[in-house]
Amino acid sequence: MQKLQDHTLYYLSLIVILFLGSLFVIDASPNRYLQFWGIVATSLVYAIWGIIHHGRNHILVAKIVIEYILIGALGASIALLVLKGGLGI
Amino acid sequence: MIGKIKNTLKHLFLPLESNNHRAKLLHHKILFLVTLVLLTSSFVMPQIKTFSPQILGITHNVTLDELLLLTNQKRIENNLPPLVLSPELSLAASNKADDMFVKDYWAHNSPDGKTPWKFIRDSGYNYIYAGENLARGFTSGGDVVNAWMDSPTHRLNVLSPNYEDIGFSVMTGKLGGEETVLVVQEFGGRREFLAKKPLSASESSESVREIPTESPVELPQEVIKQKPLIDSINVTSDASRAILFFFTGVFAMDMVFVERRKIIRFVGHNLDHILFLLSIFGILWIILRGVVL
Repeated sequence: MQKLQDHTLYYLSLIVILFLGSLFVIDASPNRYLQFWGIVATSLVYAIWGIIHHGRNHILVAKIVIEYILIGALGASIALLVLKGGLGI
Repeated sequence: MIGKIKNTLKHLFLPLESNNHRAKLLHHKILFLVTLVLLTSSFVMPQIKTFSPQILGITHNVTLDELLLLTNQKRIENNLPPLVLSPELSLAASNKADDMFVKDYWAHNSPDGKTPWKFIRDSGYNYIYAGENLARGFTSGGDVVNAWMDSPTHRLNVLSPNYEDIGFSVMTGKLGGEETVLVVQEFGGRREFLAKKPLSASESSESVREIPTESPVELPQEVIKQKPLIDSINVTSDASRAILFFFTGVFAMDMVFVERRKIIRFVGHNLDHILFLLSIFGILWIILRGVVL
């Protein structure tokens, strides 16, 4: 039961982080630079959040740290492709 | 042969002993490689756009004819007379668009205080009523008109009985550091009997604006300009969607397979990654929508 509660809070906090990130990007429109840095910040917070969660509730090993960093970097680089490569900021 | 292909696909997409119980496509090396390719492309594409604009650039299907047709269609649907394309208002719209690119602003009034009314008057159009709608980031005339109709203030302009003439300008350029398609729509009414209450610049931020005389712009300019072979916005948005869907799908498959087989392994939570990638997808959808003003 405690475990389920931990996971609920855990995913709730993730949804809040992603929601706030999206809200920031909407609010920053049409400032593309601000939108890009909003996405970078969201990706960074995501990676840190994943690492902290694993550190507290699971076994944290280097490859998990790298995985969260890589997924965060993948998200940010996709945004960079659209904003810099596509829209030309 | 078929068996070999099947095994390779399983190795790439499913968590097996051969890939240390993690789909090969989700291994760090692959993720790193994809990220590296994306980063490199982000920096190479602007160079291609600069040195080979005939290959890579921004294209759109926003035409003046379509904008006029669709605007008048909306008016006829609402029992209003169609608007007549005015060369003066079109000149005003072109000069306004040009001014926005030169001074780099996204607003009805220029940073030096020039209102839309000034542009209209300078074009030689003596109005009693005037209005202005702006749009950027759209690639089709239908999307532009629909976005205006969805916004109450812009809709008022499109469906105002006080206007009899209209002018458009469609230009591509760099606004706020971003390459974009800018659409300016100017409305005007000269007939006094239509007037119930003359507008003034202080009354409306979305209505009325105007034209500088110093830089005449020809309407066909945009049409004559050679279109690039590849549209940079389309290609990057399609690629980003494909990559996001692909990795979301592979993470989902990997997650379901592991849950079913009760495999214990030390990796990050796939559900976390799926939620994150889907939110990036949503954010990009927001970014790539056009905006009206």
